[in-house]
Amino acid sequence: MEKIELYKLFQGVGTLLESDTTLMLTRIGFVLLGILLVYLGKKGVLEPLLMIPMGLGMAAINAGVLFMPNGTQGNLFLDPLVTDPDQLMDIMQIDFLQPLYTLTFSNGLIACFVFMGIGVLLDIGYVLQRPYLSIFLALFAELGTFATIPIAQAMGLNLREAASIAMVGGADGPMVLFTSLSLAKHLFVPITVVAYLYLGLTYGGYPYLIKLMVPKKLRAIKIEYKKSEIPKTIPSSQKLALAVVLCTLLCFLFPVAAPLFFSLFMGVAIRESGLKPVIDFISGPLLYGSTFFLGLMLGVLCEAHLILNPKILLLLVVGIVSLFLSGVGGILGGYIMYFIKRGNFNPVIGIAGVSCVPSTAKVAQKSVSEANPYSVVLPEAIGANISGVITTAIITGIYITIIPLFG
Amino acid sequence: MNIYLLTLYMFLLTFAIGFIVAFIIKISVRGVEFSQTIRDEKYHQEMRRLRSIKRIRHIKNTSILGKIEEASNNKMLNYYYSNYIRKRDNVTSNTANEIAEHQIEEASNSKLLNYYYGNRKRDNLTSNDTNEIIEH
Repeated sequence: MEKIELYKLFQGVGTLLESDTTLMLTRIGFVLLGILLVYLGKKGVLEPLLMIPMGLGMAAINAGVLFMPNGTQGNLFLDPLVTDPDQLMDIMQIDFLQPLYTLTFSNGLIACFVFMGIGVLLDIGYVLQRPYLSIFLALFAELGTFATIPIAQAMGLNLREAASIAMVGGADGPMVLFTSLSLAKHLFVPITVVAYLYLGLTYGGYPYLIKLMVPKKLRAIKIEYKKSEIPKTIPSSQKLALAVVLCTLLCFLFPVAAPLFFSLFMGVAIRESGLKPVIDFISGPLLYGSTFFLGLMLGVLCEAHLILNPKILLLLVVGIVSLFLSGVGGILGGYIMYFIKRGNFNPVIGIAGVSCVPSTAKVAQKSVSEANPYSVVLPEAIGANISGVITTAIITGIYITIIPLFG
Repeated sequence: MNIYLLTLYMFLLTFAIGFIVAFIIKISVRGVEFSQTIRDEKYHQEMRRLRSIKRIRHIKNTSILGKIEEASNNKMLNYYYSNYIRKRDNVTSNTANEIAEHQIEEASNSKLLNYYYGNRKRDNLTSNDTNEIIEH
């Protein structure tokens, strides 16, 4: 009987032992991180819909490395670096996730599907009731998206990479994916993974930021409305008309980001047109299916030798700085509105301008309720939250239009 | 271009576009509210018009009824007084007819009397005839 080499029989272990120490430790680290993400997803600390497929994908891709016929190490999941059409056609017949990656992920389709689903869930009536207030708070909550660019550049990233990682401050996963695919394709996997990891942390981290920046007395403020100030209900026809107008206007201004605007406002338009079967489909199977596959793809793209980049640590630091600054900016916007309204405004609402729908709005209401159970700020918070999505989309359009001209 | 200037430029551009979006939203909301107000105003105007027509009809009806009542009172008065005061100018044709009928009836009674008186001489009147006349 021919002698069987154990490392060739169990190639996952064999490739691990054959790798250099850094790669080996990185692979082990990612397997453990993947298992941790699954655990945190199950516990509810992080978003389970995203973290369970991402974590399992991360663990599986780093464990399932094998020797390829040409002697190199590879896997049977996908190869994101292939660009040659003939090679791509071959790989699509071998790697089982390659068709999904090529046809939905690398062209941003999956991000647009998620965005369309978000659009169906958004009730822009809250923005329509207080447009200036909502947009004002959302713009302040983009502080991290802007302030991080010079910081990231000072830390060694180029302008395109800096703008891509700064988008984490916008706290919108599909936007980060779309921007990094357009501006820094070589870093889109680590940037998007960092973004989704941090976005999951907003629910746990922002309440501490609120407590740090807003004293209990101000958190307990209950907004009083005069009879004439009570917002009216906006008819769906008006919301539909506005979605059409805004979509057209923003597509005119930023054709590069037109797929994103189209997807978002298409979701809003479908919601307001009352097409129930389509609403159910987009907000259910399409949104959940896309989010699941997005998490899965992000997980399997975290292969050690692909993601092993000296910039990854930098991205982790800059990403958290960006998200932190956006939170600070949002609360500062809330304070400015508090002074403008002469005390009849709860500054905590500002944090909802960070467009992590609907987490930040829920965080704002939760923090306010802890200080004063009779104070309800959710309508204002949701308005700011939805405006955050719109302003992040605008910033994406500005970045992917302007940054290539300079960097 | 300086990175700070570029960032500032993009920040200001975002602010400008953000407020343009807010302005469009506000204008559209105002526009719809305005058209709604116009629709409401038209509705209220129509309601007011219908109410005023109803009120005028009611007032007219009341006054017509009052006039009719007044007129009928006058007619009755005229009817009762007509035989004595002869305010015939105020009497309508119906009332005149009524009065005429009344007079004709009176006249017929007289005729009956004349008949009795005419055809029979007082002296020849029987006690029955006298009773009949008295009864009449």
